[in-house]
Amino acid sequence: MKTGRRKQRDFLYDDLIDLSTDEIYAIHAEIKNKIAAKVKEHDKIQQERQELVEFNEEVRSILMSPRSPEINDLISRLNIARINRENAEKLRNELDSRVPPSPNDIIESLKQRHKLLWTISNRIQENPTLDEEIELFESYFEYQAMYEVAIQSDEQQKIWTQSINEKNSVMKELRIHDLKDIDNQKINQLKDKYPKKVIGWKGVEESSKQIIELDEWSQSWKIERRSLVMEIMRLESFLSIEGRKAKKENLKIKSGEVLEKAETGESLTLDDLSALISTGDIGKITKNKQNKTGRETKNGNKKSKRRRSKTKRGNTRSKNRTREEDGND
Amino acid sequence: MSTCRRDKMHEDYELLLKMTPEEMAVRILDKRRLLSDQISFIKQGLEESVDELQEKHDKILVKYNVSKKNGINPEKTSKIKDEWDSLREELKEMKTQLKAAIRINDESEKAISYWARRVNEGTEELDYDNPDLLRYAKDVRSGKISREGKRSKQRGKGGGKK
Repeated sequence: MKTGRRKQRDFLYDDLIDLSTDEIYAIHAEIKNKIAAKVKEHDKIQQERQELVEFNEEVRSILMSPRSPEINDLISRLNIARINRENAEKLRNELDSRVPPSPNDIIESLKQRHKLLWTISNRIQENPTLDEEIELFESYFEYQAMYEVAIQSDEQQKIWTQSINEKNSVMKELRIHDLKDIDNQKINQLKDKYPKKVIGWKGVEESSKQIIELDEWSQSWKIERRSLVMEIMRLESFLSIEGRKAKKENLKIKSGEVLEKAETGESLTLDDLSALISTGDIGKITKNKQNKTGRETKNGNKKSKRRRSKTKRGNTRSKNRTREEDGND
Repeated sequence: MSTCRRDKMHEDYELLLKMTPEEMAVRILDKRRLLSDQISFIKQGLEESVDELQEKHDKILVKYNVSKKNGINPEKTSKIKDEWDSLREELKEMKTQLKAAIRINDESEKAISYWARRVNEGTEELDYDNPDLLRYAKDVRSGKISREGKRSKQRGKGGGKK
C-alpha cells in the first residue's frame, strides 16, 4: 500500500485535538492568506485572459474581412462550415436527448425482445407473463421508432465531423494567405497596440492556446478554493466548539464560588444568578436550603391548594359514571 | 467482416426493423396456443420430477445427517454433502420451473383471449383497460422524448451516449 497518501481522518477534528488554539489560529490565518493571494492571482489572470480575447477578436476581424475574391471565397466557406457544425451539433444533441441509446444498442435490445416474444424458451421460467409480454410488445415497437431517430442523430454526427474537417482544411489555406491584401495601415495599428504579439493567424493560435491554459488554471483554482474554504469552515467550527467548552468551564468555576457565597448568606448579583442558571447549579441552593431548614421547609414552600368556596353549577359527580366519561381507563 | 456475415446481419436487421405489430401479435397468439396445448404435459412431467427429486433429496439428507453425527469417515461425509448440494440445486431449479409452468397454465386462457382480441381488433386502444399498444412508438415518431430518454434525464445523464 502507498504510504504517501494523506492519512484519513477518523472523525472531523481528530487532527486538531492535539493542537493549541494559537496553532489552529495560525493555520487559519495561513489558509486565509493563501486564498487572498490566489484571488489576486486569479483576478490578474482574468485580466490577462480578457486582453487575449480582445486581441484575438481584433486580429480575427481583420483576417476575416473581405479581401481578394479567392480569400473571400475561403472565408465564406469557413462561415458555412461553422454554421453547419453548430446546426448539426444542436440537432444531434436534441435527438440524443430524445433517444439516448446508439443504433447498435437499439438493435441489441430489439433482438432480446424479439427472442422473448417470438420463441418458446426451454427454460419454462424464462417465458414472459402476459403483462411482461404486453410491455415487451410496446417497447419493441417503441425501439423500432427510436432506431429511426438514432440514425438521424448519426447523420448529424457525420455532418458535424465533415464541418470540422472542412473548417480545418479552409484554415490551412487561409494561413497560407495570412496578411495578404490587408490594408497596411490596419496592420500597423495593431502592431502598435500589441507590440509583443505576432499579428496574423499564428498570433491568434498562440493566444487561443494561452486562453485554454488560463481557463484550465481557473478551473483547478475553483476546485482548490472550494476545499480551502471547507477547511476554514472546519477550523472555525472546531474553534467555536472549543470556545463554548471553555466558557462552560469558566461558568462552572464561577458557580462554585457563587454557591459558597449563597451558603454563607452573602447577597447574590444578577451575574451570579446567571452563572448558576447556565450551569444548572441553581437547584443546589434550594437543596442546601432544604437540608438546613429541615422540618420548617417541609410544608413551607408548598402553595396552598385550598379551593375557593364558590358554588359550581352543573351535574354533580356521581358514582355511576361510565368508563367513557372517566376517559383514562 | 466477411460479406456473407454482413449480409446475414443486414437480413437480421431488416427482420427486426420491418416487423409489423400485426405479424408480432399473430406470432404471440400462435406461441400462446402452442404453449397452452403442451403446458399440461410439461406441468405433469415437472411434478413427477419434483416428487422424484424430493424423495432422493430427503433420503440423502438423512444419510448425510447420520454420517455427520457418526463422524467416522469425514471423506464419505463430504462426498455425501456434495451429492446433497447438487440435488438441492437441481430440486430448486425444478421447483422454479414447476412454479412457472403453473403460472403459464393458469393465465393461458386469459393470454390467448387477449392476443386473439388484439389480432382481430388491432393494436389501437380498445377500452380503458386495453390502451394503444403503439402509443410509445407514436410518441417517439411525433418528436416526443422516449421512455429511455426520460429515464436517462432522471438519472441526470440526458444526452450522454455513444
